[in-house]
Amino acid sequence: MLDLNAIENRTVVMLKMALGGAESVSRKLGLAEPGSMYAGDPASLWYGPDCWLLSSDARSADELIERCRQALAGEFYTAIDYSHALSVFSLSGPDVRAVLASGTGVDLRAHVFVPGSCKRTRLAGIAAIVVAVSGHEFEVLVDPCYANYFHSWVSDTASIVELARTG
Amino acid sequence: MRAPNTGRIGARSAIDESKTLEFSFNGKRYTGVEGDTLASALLANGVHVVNRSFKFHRPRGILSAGVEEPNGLLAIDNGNGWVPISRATLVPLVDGLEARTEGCFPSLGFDLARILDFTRRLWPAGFYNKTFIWPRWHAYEWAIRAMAGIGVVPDDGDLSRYRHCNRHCDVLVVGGGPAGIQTALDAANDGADVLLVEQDDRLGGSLLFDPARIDGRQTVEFLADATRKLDRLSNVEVMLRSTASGYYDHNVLSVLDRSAAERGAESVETFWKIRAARVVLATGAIEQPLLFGNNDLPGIMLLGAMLKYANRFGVSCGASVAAVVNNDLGWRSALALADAGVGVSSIVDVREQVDSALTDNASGRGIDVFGGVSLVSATGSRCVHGLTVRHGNGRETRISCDAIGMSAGWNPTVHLYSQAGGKLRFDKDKQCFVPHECLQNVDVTGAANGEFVVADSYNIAARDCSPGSTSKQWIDYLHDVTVSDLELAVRENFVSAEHLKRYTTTGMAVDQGKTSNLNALSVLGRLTDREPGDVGTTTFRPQFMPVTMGAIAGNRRGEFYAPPRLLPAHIWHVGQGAEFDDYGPCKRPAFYGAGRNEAISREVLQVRNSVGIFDGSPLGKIEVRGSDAADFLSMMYVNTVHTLKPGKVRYGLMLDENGVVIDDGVFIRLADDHFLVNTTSGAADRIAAWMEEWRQCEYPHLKVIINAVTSQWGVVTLAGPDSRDILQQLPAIADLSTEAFPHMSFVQGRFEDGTPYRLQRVSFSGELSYELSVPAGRTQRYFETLSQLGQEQGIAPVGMEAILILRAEKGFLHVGVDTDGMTNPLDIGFGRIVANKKTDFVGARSLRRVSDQSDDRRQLVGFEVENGGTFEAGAHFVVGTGQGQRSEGFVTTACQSPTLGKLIGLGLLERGRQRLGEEVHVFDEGRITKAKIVDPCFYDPDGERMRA
Repeated sequence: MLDLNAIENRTVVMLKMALGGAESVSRKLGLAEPGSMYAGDPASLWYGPDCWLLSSDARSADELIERCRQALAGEFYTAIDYSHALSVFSLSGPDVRAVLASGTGVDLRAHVFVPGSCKRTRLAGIAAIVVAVSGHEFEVLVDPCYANYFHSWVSDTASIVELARTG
Repeated sequence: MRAPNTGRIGARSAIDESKTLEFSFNGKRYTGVEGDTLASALLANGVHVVNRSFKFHRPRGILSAGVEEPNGLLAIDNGNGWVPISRATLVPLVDGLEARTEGCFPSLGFDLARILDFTRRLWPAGFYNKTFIWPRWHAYEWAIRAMAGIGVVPDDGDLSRYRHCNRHCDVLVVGGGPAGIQTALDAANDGADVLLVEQDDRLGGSLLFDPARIDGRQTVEFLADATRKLDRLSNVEVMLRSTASGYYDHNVLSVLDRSAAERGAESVETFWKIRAARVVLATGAIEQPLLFGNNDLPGIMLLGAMLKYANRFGVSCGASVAAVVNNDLGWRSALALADAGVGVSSIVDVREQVDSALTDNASGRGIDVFGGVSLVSATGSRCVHGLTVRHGNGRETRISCDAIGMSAGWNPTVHLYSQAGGKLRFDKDKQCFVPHECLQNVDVTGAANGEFVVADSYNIAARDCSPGSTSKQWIDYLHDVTVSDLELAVRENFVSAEHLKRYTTTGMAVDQGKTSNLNALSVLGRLTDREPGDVGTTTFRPQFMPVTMGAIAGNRRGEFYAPPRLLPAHIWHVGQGAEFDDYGPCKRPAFYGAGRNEAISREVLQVRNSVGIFDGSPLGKIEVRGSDAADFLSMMYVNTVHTLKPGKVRYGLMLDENGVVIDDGVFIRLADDHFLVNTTSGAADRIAAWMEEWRQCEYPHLKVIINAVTSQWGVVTLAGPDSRDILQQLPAIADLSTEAFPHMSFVQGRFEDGTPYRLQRVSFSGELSYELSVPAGRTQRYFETLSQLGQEQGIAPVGMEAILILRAEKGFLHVGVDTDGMTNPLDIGFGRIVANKKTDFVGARSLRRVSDQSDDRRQLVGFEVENGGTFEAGAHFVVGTGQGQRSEGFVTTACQSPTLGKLIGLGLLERGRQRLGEEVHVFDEGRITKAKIVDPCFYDPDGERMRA
């Protein structure tokens, strides 16, 4: 039991900086803590010790990049439109954790991967970013060149999970 | 012939006699009941011969009631396809199940290969290494291979579905017997997230058939109480019909979950990968067989298994059972068997001293007792009829029986512990190997730790073979290994446990020595005057139990086997009739339309004569930004970077520390502190990671940020003399005249709709060519737009194959094709660029080594074949003939050039550049073709067309 939808037109900006400047940049923009997603507009997803993804359904990449420019004067950073480099899928339903656990070794137990958790991992053999939006709702970001594959894989896996559960 | 008097002796709680199930064995129909295993149903139906042995084709019956079964390995079809080597003792009976024996001819009842048993002396252990030497092994190989193997790989469809799944937990308890249940309860009460894995379809383990008492309570009461408690705890998950099959580093275990495996076409097997903070192994112990002549006859079983069949399944394994034991627990099993209503006629103990309470108990029931005797041999041919024992005074007695129950004591099931890296210790008192120490966070509890029902006495005697002939005392039932095979191995000095295992095959394969290792090590110890503990054990390997290939693959097969990387305009290419092929990780159009060779030639000439449109999206794109960007890239490239002006493009060659060429492409200066690097398509991810590693590990002081943007941008390439005319029609595009925008220029801007674009004038075809980058999601739109705009010029799509020929005609390098793991820039004609580089770069030091500068190295050359001869890439340039023939290098690229009308190509040839004009011999698939060595550039050597 799983709903799978592609989220179209999500703006994503990759914000990268020198490692030494990460704390300062993070503080100025109010970015997400390591391993988590901060749900605002823009939302920020921790992507590594020196990089975050900023994402928004309402604002354009130019707006987000300009916002960085204003907030980060004097900082050494890059902010690059990544909207076409990532496809965003929404997965929801009671089987969502079981389906995702079929493809990744990340600890997805409900009390560990709580809403707001965000992990880069290898999912179904491809690079992915997994975000827990709520208990039964996740977002997964993958390279668009794998979008068709990922959609098919989730659908197939969900059908096996359901079959194993219900018979 | 008399058969063991097996059959159903009454109702038991684990079976439901009101629900009968039909099944077939070797085509004959039988009836079992719900709760049966295939083995219990066969025994209940009086089927005592279920298989033929692997090597000698001796008739074999069910030996055990669990994972250790070496005989009842059958092919099973429960409605979802045949699965070979299934243990009948573990297969739950389902209605309509079909089982068959494999490897006997013409039938199980009459197997011609039994001749091997009657000529057994000819085929001792390792016979194949000695016997089939003359005239050569291969003359016999086909026959031996045909006879070898235990099961047959099914070639019909598999209807089951398979899944992998990951799971984490605080405590993983393997084994749902009394020890496992108690451990799970304790851990859960402490608040841990507990996973309890049990291979059976219910919890209980030995409690399900052993009438022992726990904490003064009946086992049934204890089990019901514990199960209730487990149900109430939300932090415990119980996985039934799930077998922990492998134990790896970092407390990772594989578990095969077959809880949904018997549903015909709706069957699912899940292969779990479980990561546990702590593991507790409560895997129990395996009863061991005794060694005596003909101890493999059908009707001879493990005593504990007989008790399990009686108490759990209500099946008697004989009407007149002789129990043969070497320990007190064996007596207890024999007496419990009698209590269960099975006719136990005698108890035979090899020990001199036996507790009189036990002998009195047995005698009181009318059971004949034989103490302090040696077991000589079982009698019978297709099933057991009796047992001959030898008394201390040499007198022999034949005990009449229709079944023999053996107990040579128990051995902890330490396979997983051993896989975890755990060391074992031989416990002399218990005559078994027990867990000793392990670096992983694992505990062992219960019988798996050698705690065999602590309250009772054990008093086990040391194991050894019996005094009779050793050639019929079976140690490894599965591999047909006898004590005499071990004796032979020792005579030939295979006295290490590891050598013995390989020489005799004992303890190998699907069995992993569950009933053979302990006896083998005991016998080896005696033969070499060592204690079993000094002999040591062999290493247990995953999987503990066979795992279906389907479960190992999961759903990563078919379309999910290798995730295909699709181009952003994939659908457009499909619409254009593209034939796709794999290029690196990408699925790209190889050519368009029908007729491969014709299509490719047409596309080459299309580019040479007018214009072709090509998808270059996988081209690696990496942005390098920061005030030290030029310094950083100068280290990455052989070529000079600092002099490049913004808006200009330069070709670059990248080396590793050994000076070997690893990539090439162009780099573009967008601004003083901003570069865009293009890598080859196949190396896009690798080079981004390579550059990131140098930045982080070697040059952390440089002010540089690297962003891989390959997927963000799609690339539409127009190539051919008419390309400018088409591109210039795009509204809001820059001035593309040669004066304003010469070869190796770059411009970026926005189209009228706000779409950002990046345009570079570069050429991989030798023609006027532009690479237009737009955000990937809009790539298809620009393929459509430019195709529309180019109609007048007759624009047509061009695939990878044509592009590769176009670049070969120009002699442009294809790194990884025209270079190998030794090629340096001097070999491919970049010596002047290396010499001109004023600053250091990765690989520079290595290029100064004498061997890197030698003239004898293989150098990149072109070749052409005028006489219509043909060969392929991989062919060798050879000199000499016969034994003196040797390779001077090889062809890296060979293609029929549509432009030049002849076979041309590139190759790496010793001293190649000194040999221009020379005729060489090319060896390919046994044929020699003459070719002429030429400069690598075949077409427009001055580059006038691409600079036009």
